Amino acid sequence: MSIGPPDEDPGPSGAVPVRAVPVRHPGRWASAAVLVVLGAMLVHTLGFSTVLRGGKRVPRFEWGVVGQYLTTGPVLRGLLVTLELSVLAMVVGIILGVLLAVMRLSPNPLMAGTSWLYLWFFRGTPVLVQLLFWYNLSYLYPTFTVGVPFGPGFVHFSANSITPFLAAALGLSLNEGAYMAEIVRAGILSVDEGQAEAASSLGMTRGATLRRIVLPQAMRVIIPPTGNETISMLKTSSLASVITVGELLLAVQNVYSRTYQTIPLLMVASLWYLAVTSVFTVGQTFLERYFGRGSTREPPPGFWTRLRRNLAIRPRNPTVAGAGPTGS
Amino acid sequence: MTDAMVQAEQVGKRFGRLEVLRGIDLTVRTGEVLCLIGPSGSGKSTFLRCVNHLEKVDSGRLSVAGELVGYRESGGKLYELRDREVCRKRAEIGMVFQRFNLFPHMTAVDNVMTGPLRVRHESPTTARERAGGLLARVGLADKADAYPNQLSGGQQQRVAIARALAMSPKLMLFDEPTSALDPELVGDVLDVMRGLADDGMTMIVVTHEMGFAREVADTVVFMDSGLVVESGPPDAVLTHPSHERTRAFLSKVL
Repeated sequence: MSIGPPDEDPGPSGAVPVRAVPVRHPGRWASAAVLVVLGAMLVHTLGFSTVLRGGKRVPRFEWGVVGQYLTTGPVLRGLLVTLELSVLAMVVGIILGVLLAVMRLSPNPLMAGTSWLYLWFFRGTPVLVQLLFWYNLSYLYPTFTVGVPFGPGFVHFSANSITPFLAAALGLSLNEGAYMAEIVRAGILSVDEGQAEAASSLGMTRGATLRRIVLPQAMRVIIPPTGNETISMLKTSSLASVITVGELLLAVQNVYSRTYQTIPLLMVASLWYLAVTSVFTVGQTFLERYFGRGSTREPPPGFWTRLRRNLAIRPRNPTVAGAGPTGS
Repeated sequence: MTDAMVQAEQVGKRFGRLEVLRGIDLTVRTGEVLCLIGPSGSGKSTFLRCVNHLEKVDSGRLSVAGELVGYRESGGKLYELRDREVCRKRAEIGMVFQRFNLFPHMTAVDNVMTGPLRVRHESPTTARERAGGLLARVGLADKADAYPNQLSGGQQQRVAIARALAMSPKLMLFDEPTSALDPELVGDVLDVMRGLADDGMTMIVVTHEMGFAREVADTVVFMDSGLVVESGPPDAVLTHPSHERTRAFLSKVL
């Protein structure tokens, strides 16, 4: 049986296409109309509305001020620190997370217990508190010593070597490690046991099996929440402004504390956060494609394909819709 | 040294309180094809998994090519083998699983190459060349770059056989290799196995394919509730079984 669009000649097989009135979707059109109106209102208020300020009519959102500061030196330097901090914290967090997840799944109860304790502590305290804690570490440990445990020390250095940036990186990484550990563990558990068995039957060691067989397959489950964590980290890094790290938020705060143009400068920061998260999202899509190889026969349809399909707009060279291979 | 490839003496295995193997005595000679048959839950697969130490034997002695599985004997004492030593021994035993267990993130040829590349540390060029040859041997030369989910069940199982063969094993274990296949795909897999048997490969095959057992096996072993009930040439066990339980089982599957 074939289902084709109406008003079409019979196919080469001579099958007569089914002629039917397609189901109407008035609800879709109504909701689309509401969204269009709401969208128009949003564009108007953002771009074209004015407000009385000090007896003068001025644009409500001062886009001019936003544009003026968007690419100034201090803002860009702040953005760079934000990027450095987030990327560093994510990289360390992911490494730590893999380590903790493997420990948690280890047959050695001491390993598993240590991992559990770590998670309990770092997930159980607010990250802002942890940042403040690392920032004030010199109160607990004025100097650090490398040496024999309970014995003589060889190298000493002062706690002043912990800069605010280092304290923030430390706090964010250790916290992130705890969350990544659970994500990685879920990924490892999602891989069928038969995979590890097949690898061992080839003579692969536990380590090689984890690296070559289990983790690459776990990546499919690990990547989406990790993308989430990366985007979340980019924004959480703004907490570092509290411990005087000159990242994006502190950079704009420094400006508006002089000029009192609070809202436009917060918009500057938001625009940059949005821009960077957009770039990360695209990167995540590519990573998902790569690690999803072998898992689907066709990549999932993109945004435009879905839109076209929903609006029942026919592609230029018609293929028979819904005639793809069905389940095995 | 005898020519016994696998020697089991009173092999026992329990999962918690469940006794799965209750003293298996069994010998597989080099070059022999042994088919293990029996109802599900009789311990056939567990025994197979014991042979390459995917399961630990709880009692008795099990040796492959004259060496104990999982242990080293020295001065009348048993020492457990290290992970690395167990791996080295497993590398010499090929295993084919009921559910194929191909690595889904790798193409067929990468699946076949994995063992030589990661365990034997062969060069990628030689490994790929040999993998291509093995895929041709199982009739899948044109599917080298296909991912497992682009292959039918029968093709996947043949890739899995090629993957096991890539390690040049001295013993092949088949754990119900055709049970997850559509009936019309079973033949291709059995043909490959028949070819292996003709080439003199030592094989233990857990199977429900009585036709295959009758035609290819040198010995058929019937197991029930963790014990070997009966063993002998296919004709003796399958056509003229001497035990009531064997007869009851065969009457259901034939």
